[in-house]
Amino acid sequence: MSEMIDMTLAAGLLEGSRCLVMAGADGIGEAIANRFRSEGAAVHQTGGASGTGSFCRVEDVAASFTAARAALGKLNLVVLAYSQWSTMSPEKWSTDRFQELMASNAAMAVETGRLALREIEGSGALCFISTDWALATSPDLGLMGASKAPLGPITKSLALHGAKRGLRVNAIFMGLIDSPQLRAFAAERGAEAGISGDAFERLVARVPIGRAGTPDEIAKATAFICSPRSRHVTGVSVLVDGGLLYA
Amino acid sequence: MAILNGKRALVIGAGSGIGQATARLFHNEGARVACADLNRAAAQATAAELGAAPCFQLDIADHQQVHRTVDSAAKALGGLDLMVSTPFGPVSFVIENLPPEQWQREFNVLASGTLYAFQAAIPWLRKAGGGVLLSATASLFGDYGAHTHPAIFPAYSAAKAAQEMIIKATAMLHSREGIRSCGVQPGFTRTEGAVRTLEENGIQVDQFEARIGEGMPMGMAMPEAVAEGFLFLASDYASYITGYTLLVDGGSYAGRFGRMLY
Ligand SMILES: NC(=O)c1ccc[n+]([C@@H]2O[C@H](COP(=O)([O-])OP(=O)(O)OC[C@H]3O[C@@H](n4cnc5c(N)ncnc54)[C@H](O)[C@@H]3O)[C@@H](O)[C@H]2O)c1
Repeated sequence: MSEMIDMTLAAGLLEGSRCLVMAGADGIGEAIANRFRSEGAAVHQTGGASGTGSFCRVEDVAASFTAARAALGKLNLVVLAYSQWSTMSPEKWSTDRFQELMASNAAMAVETGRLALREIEGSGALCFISTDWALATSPDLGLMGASKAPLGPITKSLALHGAKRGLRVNAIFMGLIDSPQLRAFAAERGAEAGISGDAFERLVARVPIGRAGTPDEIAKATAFICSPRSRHVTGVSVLVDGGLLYA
Repeated sequence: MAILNGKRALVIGAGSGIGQATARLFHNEGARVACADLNRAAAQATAAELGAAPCFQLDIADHQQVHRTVDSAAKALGGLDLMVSTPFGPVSFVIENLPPEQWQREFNVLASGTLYAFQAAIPWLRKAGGGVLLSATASLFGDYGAHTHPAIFPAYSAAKAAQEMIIKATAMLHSREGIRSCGVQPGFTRTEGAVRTLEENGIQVDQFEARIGEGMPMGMAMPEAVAEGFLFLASDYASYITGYTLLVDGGSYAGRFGRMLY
């Protein structure tokens, strides 16, 4: 009996799943694809350094679903891990830039949600990757945060729509995760403030857990939340931020 | 490999409901579990089921008892990596005529009890090089601080909001030592405690479920499903999560506006 239990567990959290991961340039999508594979899922990744095709416009969402479907068959997991990064001082804000961010970060979530409801038959999971900056921000990250903020209500309405058939929809909110984008941002801010030394280490020192997160730490949480081990978790904003926002 | 292989866990409230389901799940996932509860027989029953697990009777509202129990449990397990507290006792439904003793009892079991349990466990977790402190708060009665929804249990709700702050403050002060602190906010869950509370107020659980209906989009939770939230937060899958409380409510909170009927 206990041997049987061990065998099921050895199989990984996502054994037998077929998953589309849509990635951006920040390494988060890659980490999710790798982690999902190691948890037993078959994964089709679009965008990012190692994905097929390009993924940066809203039209690419439908193309990604088609490609994943062709590669894997009917999907039961979808992760939108694309983030368009942007830092801009309020003095330099432009509505063009804002519309561009909304067209990627927000509109892609809308399109992904609509298509996932159609693609995933019966139960499954959809997960969006957002950031803490959608919930609380700093001066230069307001526009990026604003373009991710719609993911809250988008996640909740999809969750309510899918609840009866067991299609769960959640959002992961990243804190300070080690990525080229965050390192560049830290360096830029450090230079502006005339700070010598490692600007990145200074930036992350204030996180309650005392360090930046790794892309795989986002991926691990995403895997668990998407897995059947989270059967009653839906419509939720999961903060994976080392306590940055609340603690 | 089981998710909690080799971990040592104490569950306070292991005699019934969510705590019992959590003790079972942690055990199945490879943890060594000690069971504690106000109800000695109930704790013993869970412990026996888990293969003669260490078992303790305690009132979590009693500071000294909590320290003694946590120390004994940690010694019996050879150390401590995880602690979960899920006590639930009688609740009141009034403000105007709430007797001070009732207010104090509810507040002490939930809020003070969480504090005492965390205090007692911290030195053991530190000795283990880190660990996770977990507590059940409540999705509909105390979520997200500012969103606190008082519902119909004022003292309970106030205590749940206090628990949230204890969880967050503990995370702020101790995460750097590798001690994460998190909560689970269950939606309405079919447990002995929940069913009894409804019945004491003349409501049958099935009636209640039918009345809330769409307010619980995935239906009423089973304790086993809520225990999965504790498993996630206790595990390495949540290594970058601290000071956070996870809703396990099947979408109840997401759909509350315009849908929840109470
Ligand atoms: N069931 C729900 O719908 C629901 C919803 C939201 C939150 N919660 C929370 O989840 C937790 C577990 O609730 P449950 O529904 O499983 O309750 P339950 O009554 O089924 O189990 C609670 C256990 O705690 C024990 N206990 C009570 N007072 C104690 C004390 N002073 N010291 C030690 N142990 C004590 C009880 O003996 C019992 O075994 C509680 O914190 C509750 O507030 C439950």
